[in-house]
Amino acid sequence: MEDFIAILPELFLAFTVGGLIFSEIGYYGERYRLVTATAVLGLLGAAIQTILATAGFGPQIKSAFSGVIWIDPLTTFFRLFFIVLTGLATIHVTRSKEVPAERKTELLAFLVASTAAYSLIAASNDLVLTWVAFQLSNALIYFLGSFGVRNVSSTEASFKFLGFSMLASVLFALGVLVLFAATEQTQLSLIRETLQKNPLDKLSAWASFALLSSGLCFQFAAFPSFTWAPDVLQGVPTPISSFAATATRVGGFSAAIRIWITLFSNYNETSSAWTPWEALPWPQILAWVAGLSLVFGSVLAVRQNSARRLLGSLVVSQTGFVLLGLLVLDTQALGATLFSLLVELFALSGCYFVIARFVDETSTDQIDEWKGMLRKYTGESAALILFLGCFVGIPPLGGFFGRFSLVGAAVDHHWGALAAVALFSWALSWIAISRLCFALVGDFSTARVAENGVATRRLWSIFVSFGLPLLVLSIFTHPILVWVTDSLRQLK
Amino acid sequence: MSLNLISWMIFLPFLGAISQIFLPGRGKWAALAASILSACCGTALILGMDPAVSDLQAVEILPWVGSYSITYEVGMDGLNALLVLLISWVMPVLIAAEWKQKKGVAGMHALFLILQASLLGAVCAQDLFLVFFFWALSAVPMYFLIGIWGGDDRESASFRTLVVSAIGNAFFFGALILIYYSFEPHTFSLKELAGGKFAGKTFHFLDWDLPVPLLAFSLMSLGLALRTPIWPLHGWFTVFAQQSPLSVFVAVSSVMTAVASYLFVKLSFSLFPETISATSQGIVAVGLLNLIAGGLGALSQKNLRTLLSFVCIGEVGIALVGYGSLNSVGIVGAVFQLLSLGLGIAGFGLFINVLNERKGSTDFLKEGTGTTVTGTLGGIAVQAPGVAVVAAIMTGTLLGFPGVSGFIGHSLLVMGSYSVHPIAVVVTVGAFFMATFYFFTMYRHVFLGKAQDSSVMEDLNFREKLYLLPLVFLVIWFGIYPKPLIDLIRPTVLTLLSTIK
Repeated sequence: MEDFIAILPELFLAFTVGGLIFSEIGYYGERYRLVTATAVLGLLGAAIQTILATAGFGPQIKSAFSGVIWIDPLTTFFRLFFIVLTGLATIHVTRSKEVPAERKTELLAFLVASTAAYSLIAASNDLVLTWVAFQLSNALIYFLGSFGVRNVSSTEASFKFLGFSMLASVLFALGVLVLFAATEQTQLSLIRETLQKNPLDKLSAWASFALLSSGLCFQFAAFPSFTWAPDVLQGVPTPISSFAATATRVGGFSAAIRIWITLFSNYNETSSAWTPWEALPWPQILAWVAGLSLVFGSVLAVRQNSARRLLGSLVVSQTGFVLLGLLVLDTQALGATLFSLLVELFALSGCYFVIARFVDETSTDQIDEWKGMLRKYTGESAALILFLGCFVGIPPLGGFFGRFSLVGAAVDHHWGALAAVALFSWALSWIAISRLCFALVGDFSTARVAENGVATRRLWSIFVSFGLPLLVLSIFTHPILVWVTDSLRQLK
Repeated sequence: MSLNLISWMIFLPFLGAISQIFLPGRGKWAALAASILSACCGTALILGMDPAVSDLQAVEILPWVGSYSITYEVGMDGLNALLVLLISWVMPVLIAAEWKQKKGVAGMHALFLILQASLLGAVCAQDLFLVFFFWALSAVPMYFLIGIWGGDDRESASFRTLVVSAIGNAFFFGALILIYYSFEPHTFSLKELAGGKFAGKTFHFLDWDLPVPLLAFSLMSLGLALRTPIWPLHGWFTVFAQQSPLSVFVAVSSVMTAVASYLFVKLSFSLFPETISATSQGIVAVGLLNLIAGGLGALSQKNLRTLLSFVCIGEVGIALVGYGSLNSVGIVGAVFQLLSLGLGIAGFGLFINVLNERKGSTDFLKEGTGTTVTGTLGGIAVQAPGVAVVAAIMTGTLLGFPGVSGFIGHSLLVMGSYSVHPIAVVVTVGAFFMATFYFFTMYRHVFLGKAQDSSVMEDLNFREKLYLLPLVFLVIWFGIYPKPLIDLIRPTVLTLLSTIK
């Protein structure tokens, strides 16, 4: 029974999916409103279950299903993360005109199902379960991406995502096979124990790391597997861009933290830091991946004229920043990574939310076509500027402290060249968003002054859903950093 | 001094900027009031300072981000007092100069106020993070001010400015991270970081161990240099000079340049005294190169805007020669020169603005000819004697004529530097002669001789007199009686130099 308690959030989400399918058939009249309420209640229930499960088990790690599932504070962090993300995506979907009203129910069902899959990735201690959950989540993102059925770019983007994800899944599976061949285990903790007794030879160690990491790099849109991100995030309907941009990447990071740190590193109690295997100095490879992601992401972002594509490129450079925190292998830096992801959750979703609104209004996401939007949609435009600033780390917004800690960690651990690249990328990100901000402010002489487009309810939803959390993250940076760093205490 | 005057001085312009959203129609008065009130706070602070104290005065400290030891720490000393005076007096003048702006006046004033607040914050901040925050923030209004109100090629000019600013800020930020992580326990407090505490520390970069002081000093200097008109990084500035509205050009060339120069002195002398000592010859060399490049560039100009941009490059060079002397008289002269230069360039820029508004052109020579006067400017002294007098006073202060503030700055700087770098002083004096030539050529073509068209140029109106008068007054006042200011600067400069020695 305890095993099922450990996966109660996922079970709750699965029941919610069932409830949504049932409500699609059963509700009449106010159908869509009730469907949304069902989804929100399901997510709320899953969040409560997550908190209760953690509170019930206490600070110790709890394993379930013979060690396949692992519940620790990090699992709780990521579970809550995905639930909040889906909550924000639900708000997007309810407001968006890009998805036909009659298809919103199935879209919500897919979203909730994806959340369950990502939540499983966060809790997984087993490489096979991780692989299966990735397949499930990627398939669901593919279906979600195809929702703009009459839109060629949407279909193309989702197909591109499917193609890339299949290749990544094959590589990941091969990595699992290499490790299984050497240890006859699929659980991370057991593989590690076996490898401590019988270490892998250099070739197998590199092969397993390279194959697993290649699969993961696709998930978090890192070099060289980042090419899907700008295309897909531009092509799919904006609410899905918002969800996919964060969910696929953070799903990847949640798995990467476990795989790279639990499996390929050794923990040192005295320094609260990890060291990579002697035969496998993987942080050096990761440094190249991070550096190239930083450069490609930010350089591409400067060149974009589509707002969604611009964000898609910035997401790649953000991946580079997050990887800085992973490769330096210390608790503070990992804490900063989690903090950065938390800021991204609200900032990126907020950006997409406002962009979705502008796309609905103008039927385009070309930056040049949005000139003078500040005059027409003052609140939304100001919010977009604020969210973008937070996402690319303009001081003193929350995103700045995340990036500052990550670059600082690189400096502190003698990754000077990488820190220099990160600074370069940071500067380019500022330039990239300035172009969009400039377009919003517009040229006063040519701005299209129209009727007051301010919708109070919409503005309130922007403020409460995205602005307020970002404000809290910016003001209470210190306690939140301490809290997220604390969630790593069991990761040894 | 527990009235938190520094905070009021910094945040009143911010409030004024916000008020522009809520006060359509009356925004102009609110903007001017906020700017003037901030200026009053700044002036009151300076008047209340004790010249005998070399330490910080009117200090305000508030913890900000505990995790990173970031504090909101602001204070005044002899160095930043001059900058506060400059910003406080020039920014309201610029707002007044744009009173008749037809396109988005509220937006323009709001951006000027943000610029004023950020520059005041940057000079008063005593926490390195806070310095960076305000300094980086000051780039934002510049981008929009040029992009929206600039000339025909404004988008390109604003993008250039933005790129240069972003890269400059990234270099500065690199220095900041390096400083923060090289010091145990990590802190941003300038007080704790000061005094050469980075000597001997190294930073591992690829396969090299680089000395932290030299690396951080280089990054910081490069970051500041990119945002100021310094040869050979001045490419953006000449485009900026041609495309930006004149008031914005004045803000950059008179105020922002002075602030960057101040930050260079304040941070490098206090944080990296040994590096400053070792690189003083290099600083003087860069200063001389700027003087020569600025002078030669100015000689070939036919337009008042571009002329002023090259003058600005040359004047930055003069200040660098003073800093490189590592001599109290030279540095006091260089710091005084920042104020004098700022006031002079502001006045000069605003007189160009008046000419531009009246004549629609700022060309004083025909393209492709060396001496022929254009059809637009010439003989203005007879028609508009007020404009001619203001221009003469501002030209005088830029040239360092006796009786105006430039004379004090130039003289101290030359006297202080001569004992250390006599050849540099000879070159500097040569540059002064060159400046005298091109300024007189300009003045002759614009104000003397025959009017080149039949239109009669109006003299200064009441509003123009009102905003130019404070600048003229300060230039003359500090030229005649500079003692209070010099007494204020000296103790701080001596403290800075004592660390080096």
